[in-house]
Amino acid sequence: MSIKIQFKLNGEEKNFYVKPNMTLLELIREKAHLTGTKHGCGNGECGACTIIMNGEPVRSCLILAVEADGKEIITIEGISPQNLTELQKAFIDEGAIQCGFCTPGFIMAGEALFKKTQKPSDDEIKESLSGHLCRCTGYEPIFNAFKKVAKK
Amino acid sequence: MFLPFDYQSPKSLKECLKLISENENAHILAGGTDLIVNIRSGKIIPQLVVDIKNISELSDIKKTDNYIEIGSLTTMNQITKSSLLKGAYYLLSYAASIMGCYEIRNRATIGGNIINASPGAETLNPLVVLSAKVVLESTSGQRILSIEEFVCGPNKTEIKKNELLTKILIPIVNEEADGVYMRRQRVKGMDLASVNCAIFITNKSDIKKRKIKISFGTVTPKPYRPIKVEQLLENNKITKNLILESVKIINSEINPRTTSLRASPEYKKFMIEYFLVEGLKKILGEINVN
Repeated sequence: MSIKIQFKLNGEEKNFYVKPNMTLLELIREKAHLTGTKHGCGNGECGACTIIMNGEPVRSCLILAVEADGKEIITIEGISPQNLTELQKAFIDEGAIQCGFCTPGFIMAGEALFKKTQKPSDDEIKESLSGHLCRCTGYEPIFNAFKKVAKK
Repeated sequence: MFLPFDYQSPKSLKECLKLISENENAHILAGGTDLIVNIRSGKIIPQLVVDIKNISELSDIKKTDNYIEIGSLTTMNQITKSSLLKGAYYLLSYAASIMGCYEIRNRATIGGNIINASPGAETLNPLVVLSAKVVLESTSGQRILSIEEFVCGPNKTEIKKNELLTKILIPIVNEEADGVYMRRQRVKGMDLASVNCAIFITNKSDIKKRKIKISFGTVTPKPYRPIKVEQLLENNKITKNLILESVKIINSEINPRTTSLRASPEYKKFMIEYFLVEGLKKILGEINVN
């Protein structure tokens, strides 16, 4: 059985027919063709699939596509389509990207954090990074990029 | 993509209870942070997934005459932010605040955490020491069980196929009371508890009336309450000898698995004394146990 769902994806109303056994991550990547959101562990542990749903960061690999019905979803492509955000610029300046696979997840976590508080403390930054794995950078440059934005 | 299954999203409790009473192999989808992982691994192969997120009455926290009532669909982040879970009940809100990571806490629910019944589940020890009860509803009525009766072991509870966990009841404590939740994990960031412990004390300044409840996680298949030790510590001055005796009793009663991925039995046994001393110190103030 396919279920019709309707939701706002990066500001645009979208309709899809989805099977119940499809995850939101699969829908975003394979049906909406937005491949910035990554499929890492598939178990909610690595954070690469993080998106913003109704204003809150969530793991799209642990959500069924049907659950998106009526929601407002923002992916990495939707946060600032024209220009880079302050955090994205800081990632470049601080060398916080190596292979780049984890980066969209970190940026989405940062988006949510800076929306809640413009000047997060070091602990708040670490808390927001804690659900994201990066096997390249050792986290220091990522933390520094967050700090840079927090100082502004 | 997973093996195919059907999906229903009932809008009312009544509709949901009817659905699960008619479908033997229905699985409840709350936050999904355990269910989807289990479907992906093949541990659960559902025929029907019943998404309960549209039943609005299941996701709020309110105070009644005798209880703080937490809807089973309340997320960890909602529990963390709740103004009703402060003071004596703070240990539960603290446990919820360190579970998983922020994104997981946005989805993971207290009902799911209880039903999944992981031996290291973050909320179970606080709920045990707070004497929490669970409300189970089905088309044939309602039952209320204590959390201790309800949880049987890893992923095992007393819930029946046609029942839904709808509420968690935390008795309101009128006496002076305080509690603490502690855990150790392998890494400082996001990790499951290797071993954890909650302690709750009422009438802490009156040694004659003092009541102590203690619960440890991951040392037995379900939350472990050292009842003999609670009685020993309750109305006696806490001394080094009393602590050593308590640790001896606990270590004779527990049997941590040697195959645990997160901590060796030796480490868990070592942590018993640490948790006891630190927990009692946090609640009772300085106690001389050196």
